[in-house]
Amino acid sequence: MSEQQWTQGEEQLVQIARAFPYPTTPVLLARPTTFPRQRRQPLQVLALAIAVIALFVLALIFSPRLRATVTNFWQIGVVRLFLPEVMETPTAEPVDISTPAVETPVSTTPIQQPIQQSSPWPPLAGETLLVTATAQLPFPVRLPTYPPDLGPPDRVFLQRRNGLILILLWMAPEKEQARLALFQMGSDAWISKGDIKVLARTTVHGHAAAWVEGVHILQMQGEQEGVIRLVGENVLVWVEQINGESVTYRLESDLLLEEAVRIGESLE
Amino acid sequence: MTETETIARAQAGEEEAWRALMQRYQQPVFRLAYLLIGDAAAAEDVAQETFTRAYRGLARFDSTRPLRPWLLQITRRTVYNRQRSLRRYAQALGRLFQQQRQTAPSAHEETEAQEQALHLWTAVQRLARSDQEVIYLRYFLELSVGESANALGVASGTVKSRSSRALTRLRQVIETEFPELASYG
Repeated sequence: MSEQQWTQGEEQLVQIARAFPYPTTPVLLARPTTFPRQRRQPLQVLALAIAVIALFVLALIFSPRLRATVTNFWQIGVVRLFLPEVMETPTAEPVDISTPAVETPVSTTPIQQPIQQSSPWPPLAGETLLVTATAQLPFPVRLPTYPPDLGPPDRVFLQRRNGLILILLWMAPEKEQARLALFQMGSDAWISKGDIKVLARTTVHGHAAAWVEGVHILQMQGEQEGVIRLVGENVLVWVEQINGESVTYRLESDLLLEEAVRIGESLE
Repeated sequence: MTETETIARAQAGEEEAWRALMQRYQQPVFRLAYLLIGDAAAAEDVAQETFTRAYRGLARFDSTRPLRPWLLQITRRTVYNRQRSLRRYAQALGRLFQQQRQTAPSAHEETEAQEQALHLWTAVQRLARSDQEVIYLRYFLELSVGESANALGVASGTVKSRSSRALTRLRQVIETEFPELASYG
């Protein structure tokens, strides 16, 4: 063995370990099936890669279902928005995911279809105080300064969904429903939204943002129990760089787009 | 032929060169797997898988570096990958129990030194996985600090500090649970 400088205690340990009754080392060479074959030549690898890609492209062309699965989502920060295969009559401009997000104009048309009542917030784990949550998050917590009489959130939750998610709720007077919910998520968190009927591009402070109108499904997975909730409110999702950290914001309310953007831009 | 030359030949696809390397290192690979798993059959599977993986990655291996720490690093990872599956882990525990009854040397067959070594192994198994690893590499397989660092993927200084901590914890276990070993250290 190579140069060893044992202490006396280590030397004794080695002496004891040397007597360890290992089972007989098996003859690994006796298994011809496990010996790997000669490596593939680079050209073979290239041909194989091209064949796999070609098969995938063909599958995309001939399978609308696969195409929808692979291409029909839009990622804003840590929020993945799954688009419908067929858009219902949009009330805001539907997303064209092939174009840059920031250049699409904003639609402020009120939605025509009635919003179904969202399912109430399920009992959320991790209720805490704002000051406690602030101390644990790797990014600064920002609160809306608009509308001026909004005040601090009524309830604060800090959840671990791969990364930390801060959920701030402003409750409707004398109701158990939240009138405003603001999520703040670091880059390790992960949530998704599905069954979206209307999706439009907009901006918050010049940052690409998604505007989801009407009923859709919110899914949050992670270390804590998963949450699947039917959302009947409108939702604004955007990302900002705060002190070098990418923070995704999700604002849920019954407000129209202009108001939601105004609240989003009032965060301080 | 030096090890560097043998590795270079194996990298060029010479099966005989690869067989020579396997023959040279199958014992430490198998032994580390056995120490970590405690089951000879599973350790053999791990050793076989280790060499298969190593062969697949051989083209990217720097032939000027020693092969043994690299192989032992793959061995560790292979053991962990296997143990991630709860089902396999449960099977391994079952086999361990069976093997302890069937294949471990009986009290009559064991020499006193072997018995002491088995007690030491049992004591090491009480430690955290990272402590076990450094003790197996340094004191059971007698790797140098540098080789252990390569096998663990850490700096040499980390190996020294980990060894020191692991030995302190081992002494505590020995003093409380294996007083017959307490003369060591």
